[in-house]
Amino acid sequence: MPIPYITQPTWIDSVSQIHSATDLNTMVRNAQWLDMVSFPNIPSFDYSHEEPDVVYQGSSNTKGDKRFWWGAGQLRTGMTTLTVVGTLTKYGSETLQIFLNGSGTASATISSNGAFTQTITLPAFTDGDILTVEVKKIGSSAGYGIYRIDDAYLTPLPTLPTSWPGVPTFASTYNQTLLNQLTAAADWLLARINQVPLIPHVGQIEVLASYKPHPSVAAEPFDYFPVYQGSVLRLHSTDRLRVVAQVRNRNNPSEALDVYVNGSIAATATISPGVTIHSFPITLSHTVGTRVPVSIRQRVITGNERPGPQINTRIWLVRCTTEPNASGHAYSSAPSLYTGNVAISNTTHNTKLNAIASTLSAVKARIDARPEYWSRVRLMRRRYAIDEPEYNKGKNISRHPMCFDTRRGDRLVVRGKDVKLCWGPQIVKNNEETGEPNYEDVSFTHEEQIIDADKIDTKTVYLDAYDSLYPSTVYYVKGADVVYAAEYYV
Amino acid sequence: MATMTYQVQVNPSGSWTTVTASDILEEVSVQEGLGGSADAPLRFGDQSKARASLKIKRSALPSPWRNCPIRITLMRDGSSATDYAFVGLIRSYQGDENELTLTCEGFGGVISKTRDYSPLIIRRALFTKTALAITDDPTDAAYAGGIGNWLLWQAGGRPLEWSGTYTNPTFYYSCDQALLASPYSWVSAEDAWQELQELAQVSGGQIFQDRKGVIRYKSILSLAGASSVGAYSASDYGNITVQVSANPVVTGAICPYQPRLPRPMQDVVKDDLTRLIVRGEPLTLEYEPDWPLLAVQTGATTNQLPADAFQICYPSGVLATLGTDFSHTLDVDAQHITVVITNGAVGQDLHFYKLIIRGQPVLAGAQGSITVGSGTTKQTLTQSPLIQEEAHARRLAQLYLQIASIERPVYTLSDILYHPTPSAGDVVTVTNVTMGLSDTRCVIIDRQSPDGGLTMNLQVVPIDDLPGTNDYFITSTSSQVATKYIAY
Repeated sequence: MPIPYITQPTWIDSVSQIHSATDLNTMVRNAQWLDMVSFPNIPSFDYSHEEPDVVYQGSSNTKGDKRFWWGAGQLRTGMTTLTVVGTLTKYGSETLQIFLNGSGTASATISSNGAFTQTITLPAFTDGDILTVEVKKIGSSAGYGIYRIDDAYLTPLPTLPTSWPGVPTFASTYNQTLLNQLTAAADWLLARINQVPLIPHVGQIEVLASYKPHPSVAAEPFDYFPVYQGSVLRLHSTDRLRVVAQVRNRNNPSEALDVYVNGSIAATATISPGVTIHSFPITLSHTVGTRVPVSIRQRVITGNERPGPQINTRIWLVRCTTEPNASGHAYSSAPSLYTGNVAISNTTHNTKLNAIASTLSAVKARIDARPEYWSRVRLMRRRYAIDEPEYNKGKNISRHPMCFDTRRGDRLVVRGKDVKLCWGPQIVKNNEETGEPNYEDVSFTHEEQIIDADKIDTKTVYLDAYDSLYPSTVYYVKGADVVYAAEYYV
Repeated sequence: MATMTYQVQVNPSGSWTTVTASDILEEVSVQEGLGGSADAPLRFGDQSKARASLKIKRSALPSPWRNCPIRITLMRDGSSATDYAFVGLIRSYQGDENELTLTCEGFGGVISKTRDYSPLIIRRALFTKTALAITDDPTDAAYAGGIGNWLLWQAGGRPLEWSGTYTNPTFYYSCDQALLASPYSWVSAEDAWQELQELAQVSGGQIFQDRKGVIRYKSILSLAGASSVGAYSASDYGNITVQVSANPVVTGAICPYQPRLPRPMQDVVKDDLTRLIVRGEPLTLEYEPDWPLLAVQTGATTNQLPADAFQICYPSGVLATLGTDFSHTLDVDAQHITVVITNGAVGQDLHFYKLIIRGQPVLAGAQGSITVGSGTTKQTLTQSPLIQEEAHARRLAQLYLQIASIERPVYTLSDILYHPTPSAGDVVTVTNVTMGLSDTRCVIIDRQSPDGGLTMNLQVVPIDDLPGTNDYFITSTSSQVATKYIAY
């Protein structure tokens, strides 16, 4: 089933074209759908997981250049600029450098402490090319710096083929000019909304958390185990954040899962032994249109004192995405649907058509008011790995497929090698030697190869070609090398 | 007593000639109808009838006779010669040395022979209204006709509204705007008359030939909303009979549908059969992809395949170059591609090894169906690839239910004094106290004159309950300050 937006009817004068409830309700429903998607549920921007905003070098503090963020985005004709937003607090003389498309020469260097917004002019490209971006700490540092990436995006959006047609006003004349203007306005909004791809999370499936309280050694600067670091955009005042995580505690009498927003604890749950699911609705209070950090942390409160091997807790981060708060978004008052074979007055007909127009006008205004989301093509964060050996590990591939926590669109663009589309219940195989579940080897009931293993390629797939991959289904893009994935409504 | 004479004209060679009156013998009968029956008096898109038979002297048989156009006027007391009772084609004859009985039929037979590949038409009413201000010529850049219009044009028909420009087509046609549009519509060399019936069926309309030989498409609401052309009471007809179906009225309707989904550019034709392209002999390749195509990938030149689509070589194995060593033409229809390759190499044959054509197919999605109404007497509508949306299926089912959910007797008014009007598809009012008819609006579903024009019999179906086009809000530049219906 494709997205609910249905091809609009075409209105024609002088052919006795009868107004049908079917055609009119198509316009009503399309307007309602546009209204709904103009309040998007936005996944948090992924920064890291195991690595906190402090790059912990371990005991070997002379490690040099290190990648701590990388991602990719699709270039479209008209784009000129890559923007990377973050924070740098150096320990010593190290710098942050940004590399494009695997180049050995940095396109930008950040050397001053503090928050930064680094813009980079894009190199020449062909429409549809995938741009890869890598942010590295360059230079040895004997201690811990803070290197955060809070946002990375491409601008400007490509110019649409047509300009906004505006919305008509109906006053008992229902000609093709006015009616087709109404449908054109809805089609324009669909194209406008579709300019912003829907970017996945880096999935976290049965990732390792701690088995012991922290700090476990004096050198550790924190009393928790980091699970996730990112940033959340508050697009509307009625947004809140929803964090959902499954915790598999097989070791400790007592643990906690904490969610921090903008440095303050926003939610916490005590975790008993066993498998538990935690869903946190979190109020957002920072300025609309801005981002703040979000981090998820595990704390072992009471460890297991028994002798012998300890068992790591495992966490599956299901969702870290905004949603409407308890009072809900300010959706437009859409007209009630038309009923077929029922007589109505021209006044009623005017009211309903004008309500469609008002809805579309409100959607346009809403999009225009929030360029922080609607005028930027955000980069996808690539799989967590500080280097190629880490990237290629089987357990890394299993733990961190790209996760679309809700299928919303119809078209998926993917670049990579040996890439599969995965959905449905997960299958955990048993370790052949021990007979124990092997959480490092998780597969899915449905796995469809979309890019072969012989080369890197870019493919477009249509999601309703896959049985049971229904709208609102969570699905994953998993593979040896997933460079980029993005979903579009159409 | 009325005097009956006949005017019979034939057109064997491009112009009409009148058959000598004395060569026309008796036994002229004509029939035209929408194709309904007591079981389904107003069924959408049913097989319509247009027939005539007459006896002539053998010497009057035109040459050539097969499919010779013929028009018959039953001239009563000097009525107009152009009030045709039948226009069609001579299909067969039988007789003896002196007299022949000609069997004539409407243009459905000719239309049936038309088997063409159409372009893919996107989100357009299945029939579009014909009018002087609207071009129906598919070669016109401004063409916006429906697939039904396209078929009628390809079969040799021309819009009646354009009769001033097209004075001698195979037949004329005139269409209402269909109530329903499919996201994707096309034809692939099927029987055009069957296709037109199916198009009428899935768009809630009727296609039939009237007595003047015009192929007409009418939506059911247009039929119901037409003005009455005559009133018939007990003094106008000799007898009235009624037939009611044994089938109970329908309380629900089920309509299947199958979505069509466009897909990205991909290989749609892969031809690796080795052939020789001989000097001076173009190689014509025709393909029917599995799915209709939204677009075909072309090269730098418009309407040409890209060079890398071809693998054509010299006998030595050296690759031949498009534009230098060979050229080609490309003709793309919805589900048919023709590539004609011409060898331009000097003095050598070329070897064709492979051709890959990329296109955007429109695939069929998972089938579904909708049910409207309730109760135990449900009718399943015929499945059609042109019903591609749930909304279309629902609307068609509701239209069908609106018509089939009440009992519609078929009345036959017989022994009516012949008059050229009314015709099948016309609306008349009928009065009969015993039958409970009081100026009841009825549509004529069949008209016959079996006795050579002395009398006529009309089969009519009541339509008082059905609204007409004027009862609805329509798309118009005129203000509509009124209470009107919104259709299904």
